[in-house]
Amino acid sequence: MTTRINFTNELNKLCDSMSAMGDEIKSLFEITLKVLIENDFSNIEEVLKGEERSDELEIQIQKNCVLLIAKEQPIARDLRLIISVINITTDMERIADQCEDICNYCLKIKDNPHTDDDAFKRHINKMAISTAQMLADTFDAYKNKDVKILQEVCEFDDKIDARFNQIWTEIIAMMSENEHFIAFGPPYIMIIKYLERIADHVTNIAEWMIYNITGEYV
Amino acid sequence: MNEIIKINALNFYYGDFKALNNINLDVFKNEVLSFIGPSGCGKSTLLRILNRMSDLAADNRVEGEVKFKGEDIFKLDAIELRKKVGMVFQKPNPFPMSIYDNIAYGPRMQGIKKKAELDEIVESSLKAAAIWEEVKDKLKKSAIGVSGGQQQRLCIARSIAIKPEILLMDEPTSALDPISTLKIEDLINEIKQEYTIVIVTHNMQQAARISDRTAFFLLGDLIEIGNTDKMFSMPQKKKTEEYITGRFG
Repeated sequence: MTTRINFTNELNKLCDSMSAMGDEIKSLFEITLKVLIENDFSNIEEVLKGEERSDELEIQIQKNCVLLIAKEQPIARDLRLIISVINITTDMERIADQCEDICNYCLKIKDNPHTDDDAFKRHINKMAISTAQMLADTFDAYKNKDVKILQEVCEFDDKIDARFNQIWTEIIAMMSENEHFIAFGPPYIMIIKYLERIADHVTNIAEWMIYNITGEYV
Repeated sequence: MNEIIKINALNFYYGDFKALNNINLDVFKNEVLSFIGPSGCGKSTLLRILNRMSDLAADNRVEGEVKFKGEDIFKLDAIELRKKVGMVFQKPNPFPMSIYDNIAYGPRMQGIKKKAELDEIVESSLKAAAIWEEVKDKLKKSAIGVSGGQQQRLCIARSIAIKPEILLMDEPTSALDPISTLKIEDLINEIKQEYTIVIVTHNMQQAARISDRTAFFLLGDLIEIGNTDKMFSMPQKKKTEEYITGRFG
């Protein structure tokens, strides 16, 4: 006989809320990519509003987690799920913040956009696309309980860090060589820093998902 | 770890019914070990075997081996064994006599007659059971007159008075209110420095709070035994996970 039907339903709802928040974060990041890569600002308001929305979602989901802990005294896989959701929503909310930050820096350089013709911008775009792929892979892997893919996401973070260092060096060199670029260097450095941070948050999310599935800390 | 009890290939039958099936388990000195599992899983039966209370069941049969400090318990005198392996029951069962006489009962049976010595045992036992401050001014009053939670701590004090090495507890807080329950749990945590405690509980959170290791039984089988921290965060067996998360039972 199945027991704790209500609790099981509440846990399922929690997973659904986390996935829904994940979808919103992916969508915010896609808009951010359009702003950054295509200089398309048509939907930037969604990122600005989306950041507020993700704050609300984080609080709402975490309140539900606290209530479930208080009322149901979860243990084992149930407790791991709730602890993972609390941590994952925090990281997702930070990603939303950083999407907004990237968009704001893109606004500062809006009138003089750089394109793929510039090697450094090509590298930034590639870094952004890889980070977006990490985010998408993480949520897909969680749906399929694929720990191997989640581990690969965690390992990929080192490549993002390496790209950050490489692009940072490129930007500094360009600022030294070309005085017209000096005004653009700092915003681009901030943008790659936010991309690198987003990759860190995605890595945290993947690690919490691994903990949820296996009970192992990565 | 230092095993105080060693159980090897133990089977136990009530008539034709096999209540325990090939149990292999060690109890370590100064640990708190919880037995959990649904009703009828054999946990209380195993507990009762440890001090031969199971002898009292009609038509019982034992196969296998249970050793207490290296000695086969079935070859020991049962009364002597119970002096070393005491038991606290589900419902507090103070004797209908004064608090003092309840605690002094066991030592007197062991031949201690001197009042000073008995006074010392009564006081130290009541202190060890964290109830001295509450009853020190009414030692001559009936033990039946105190609250259920206090009665249970008196029973623990009565068990401690004969200086056992192991205390078996069969759902010791199931008849108590939440505060009395937590007092007993605090007490268990205190006295484990000196005693080994094996406790049967239906309260999963209690097992998680107080025990060093937990053993999960189902239909007479020992399904899983391990460190409580691990058991309640990442149990190894699916059946354990289903039971402790309340998905069956």
